Amino acid sequence: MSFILALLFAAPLEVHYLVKEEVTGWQPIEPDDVERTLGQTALEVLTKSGGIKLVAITEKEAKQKPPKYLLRVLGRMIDEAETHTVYLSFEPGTGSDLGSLRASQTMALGRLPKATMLARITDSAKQAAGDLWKGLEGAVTRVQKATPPPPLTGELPQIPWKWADVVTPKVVSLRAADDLYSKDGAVRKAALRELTSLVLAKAPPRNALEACALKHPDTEIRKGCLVALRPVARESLPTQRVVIEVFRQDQDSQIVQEASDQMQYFVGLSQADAIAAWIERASKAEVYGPFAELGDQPNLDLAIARCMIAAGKRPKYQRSKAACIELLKPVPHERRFAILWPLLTEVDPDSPRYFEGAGEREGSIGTDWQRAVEALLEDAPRFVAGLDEVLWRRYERTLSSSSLDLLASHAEPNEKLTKRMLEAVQTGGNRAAMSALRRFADESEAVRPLILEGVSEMLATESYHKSISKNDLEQLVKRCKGEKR
Amino acid sequence: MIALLFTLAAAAAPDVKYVVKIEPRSWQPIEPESLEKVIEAKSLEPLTQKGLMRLEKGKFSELAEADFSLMMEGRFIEDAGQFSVYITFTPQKRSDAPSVYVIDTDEVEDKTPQEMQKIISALVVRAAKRMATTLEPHLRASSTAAPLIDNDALPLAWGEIDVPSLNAPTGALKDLINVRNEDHVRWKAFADLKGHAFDQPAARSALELCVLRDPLPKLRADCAEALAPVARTRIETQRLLLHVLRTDVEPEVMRAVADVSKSFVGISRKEALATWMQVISDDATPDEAARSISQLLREENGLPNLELATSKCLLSQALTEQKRGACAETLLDKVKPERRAAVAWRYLETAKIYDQGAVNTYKEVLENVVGRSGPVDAALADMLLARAPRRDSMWATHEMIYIARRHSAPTAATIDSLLEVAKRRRFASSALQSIGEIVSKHPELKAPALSALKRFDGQQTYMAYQSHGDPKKDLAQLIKRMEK
Repeated sequence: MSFILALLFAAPLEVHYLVKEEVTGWQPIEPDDVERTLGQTALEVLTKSGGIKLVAITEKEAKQKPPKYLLRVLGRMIDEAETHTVYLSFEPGTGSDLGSLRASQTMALGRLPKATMLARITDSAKQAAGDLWKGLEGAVTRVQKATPPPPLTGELPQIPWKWADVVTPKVVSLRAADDLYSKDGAVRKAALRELTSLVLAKAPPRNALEACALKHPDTEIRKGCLVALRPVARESLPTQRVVIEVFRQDQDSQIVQEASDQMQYFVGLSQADAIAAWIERASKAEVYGPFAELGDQPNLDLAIARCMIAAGKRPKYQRSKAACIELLKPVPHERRFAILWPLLTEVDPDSPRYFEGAGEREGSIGTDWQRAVEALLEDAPRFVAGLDEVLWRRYERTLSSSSLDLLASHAEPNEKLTKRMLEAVQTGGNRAAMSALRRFADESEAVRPLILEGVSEMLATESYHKSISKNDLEQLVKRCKGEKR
Repeated sequence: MIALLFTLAAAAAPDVKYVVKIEPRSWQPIEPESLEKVIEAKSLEPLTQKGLMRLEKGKFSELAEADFSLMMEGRFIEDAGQFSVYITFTPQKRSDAPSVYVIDTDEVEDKTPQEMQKIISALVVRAAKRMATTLEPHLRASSTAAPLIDNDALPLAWGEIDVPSLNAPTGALKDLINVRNEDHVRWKAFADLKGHAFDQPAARSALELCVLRDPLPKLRADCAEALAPVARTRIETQRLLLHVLRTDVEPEVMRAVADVSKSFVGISRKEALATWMQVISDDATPDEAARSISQLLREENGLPNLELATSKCLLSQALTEQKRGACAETLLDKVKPERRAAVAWRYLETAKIYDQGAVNTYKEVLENVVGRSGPVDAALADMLLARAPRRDSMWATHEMIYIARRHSAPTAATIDSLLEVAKRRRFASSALQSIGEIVSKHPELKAPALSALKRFDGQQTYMAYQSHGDPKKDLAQLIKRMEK
């Protein structure tokens, strides 16, 4: 038996993979050759440890019957920048027990012989595969042993994207490009109008606007340049890289929003880059982009955990983690637990991990605390072990009404919790606690006598909070005795 | 045996009636009759060489008598010095292939008639090949089920447009097209010129340049509206406006141009409709513009590339759910009911549904495909149930569970699929109800269902959720009911 188990544990995780080189305007090497190189290199690195077994699949097959785990090895050349980027993306298909991960590497290929280009592409694929495996190794072992993901505690790592530098081609002999930087504001605006009108027609005006969107010191002009890039950013890969870079680097919220809006129209690998940028920004508690439509995405778990902490480091009145909690929607229960548990157990109100609440007013207003616990329980197969302690502790410290509501609605009856609910009725006249006692009395024979005795004592001694009516307590006694309600 | 198969395949090739027509233009460097012959001769070979169809020449009045019809049209574009060819494939008696519209254009300016003929021949062959490639999977289908439609491009090649030019413009002409002028200067020039668009070619050219290039979207939109009287008849202006509709991304400009293009007639009307279809299905189109075009399409019938565009729109990658919703609402409804599953299948199978907008679109598409009542094709119901437990189905899972109740041929596997969904608390009661309904309609499934339910009961637990029902109780009641 133990031999069989050992064999089972040793069995590599089956991961389907597909390799694709996106065809772009600059293609110095045949896409088939690049695909072969990418595929061979990634396979070699990822299967070295024997932890995973890679099985080829086509895009069509992956669509028709999504595999449990899918590895995409993708690449593309970018003209103007003359670079090649390789993307390795591990996606949980039907198996959402593993989060998704993504690694990418970019290499400059301009004016190199073909053999050197291929060698560089091999190197970048090796590095990306190595990075991916670093993030994946622990998770694969965990899935093989069927253990849940460990809570994201302590100092959280950075989001592991590697972004290539975005450099725009130098624009020469274009007066409007120079005028954009004129000291005279009217000249700058005239130049912007001229370049805007030419953006679809020629490359130099586009390049001038790209450089301006990235670096112009005047916020208004910078925004104007970015807006002018709208039509061309729908198609041009170099422009899409610029827009994403603006989104990542700019500090002006209107410019960031404009870039984010444009990114919604990117498709293919540019969309993957856009999503990575949204996730990166979200990890700083700046949530832009159509997250409600994105679903589970690479490094989302880490980004959410970082988002919560980043939000918690802001001044007290700006600490809402609501936008970060919203990001949990596509994350399944076990992974939610790993993100939320270290924060739910934090009791220090000054800690960045602390979820703000509103004590007795919770329930009538949404708070981070309530949203977080509800998110944890949303898809839980059973009440989370230890959560009753956490909720009670919160009630004790802040009189959190949502904590009692959640205990009343979901917690499994036991002696300790029953006593606590009796205490909440007696000291606070809490209706949620009454409701919990009624449910416990119905569901558990073991605690029924305890409730009967506790409530009877309250009635006999008249020692209960008078916001609870005597009649309610008497009804509860009858319920415990099995009398007709 | 092989010969028999070939015979059968050949016999299955549909009858297609075709007509050829050259639209008369003021610039007609080659006689229409001889051009018609060129188009006919050059298009027939690519269309028939793989035994895709049996072509027979007919009249317009006879087109509806065949399985499908083909319309081959062409026209010269005067000022641009171009020739365009248009091939339209339309289902008539049969409906197992989509309608397809192919367009292609090439330059013929400054060429001798012989050179022109050569260019046009190559153009026609190119367009016919594109038509054959698009139709091949549908006309060669070996099974009875219609092949799914999941094209990622429409067979349209628009060619370059002729950008108008103005020689040494002065006054308002100069003020309008010099975009370095401040907005108020250009607005004033526009006000001076807009009344002259019909009579003065220079004013028209300035307004056309304004639509193409002015940096201000509102002014571009107004310039487009000012061109409306010219655009009723002048093909070059029509083509320029349709080009703008395909390349501009500002909703107010797109809305104005689409509105002007409503007045186009003849082949230009077809071009306008094809452009609307392309734009609404294009990833680059913003939601607001898609909604405006969707309104225009609502009133139209006989839309070119309807099925291809609908499928492309539903499968669009851009993160713009409202546009997908507009396509579900407007376009899918226009597809013949028996073709809707082939058009929407890939979407129904792969759509990522994470928010309410996506749920609404999914419901709309599903209702269009399966209607509100009656049995649902077994393969479709199975596909929906297979995806129902996935996290990217979210609240649309309810719709998928309800569809299972209408499964035309449920099996024990259907019950198992529903129980897989029932593992999630929020869907458990609906899934169990569906099982109850299926068994009451198909009593032969009672024994396997009962056994599966008991097994499920032994394994499954749910977290308590006060005032949200108890799936375990529902399960116990269902078992009890079935045991009676």
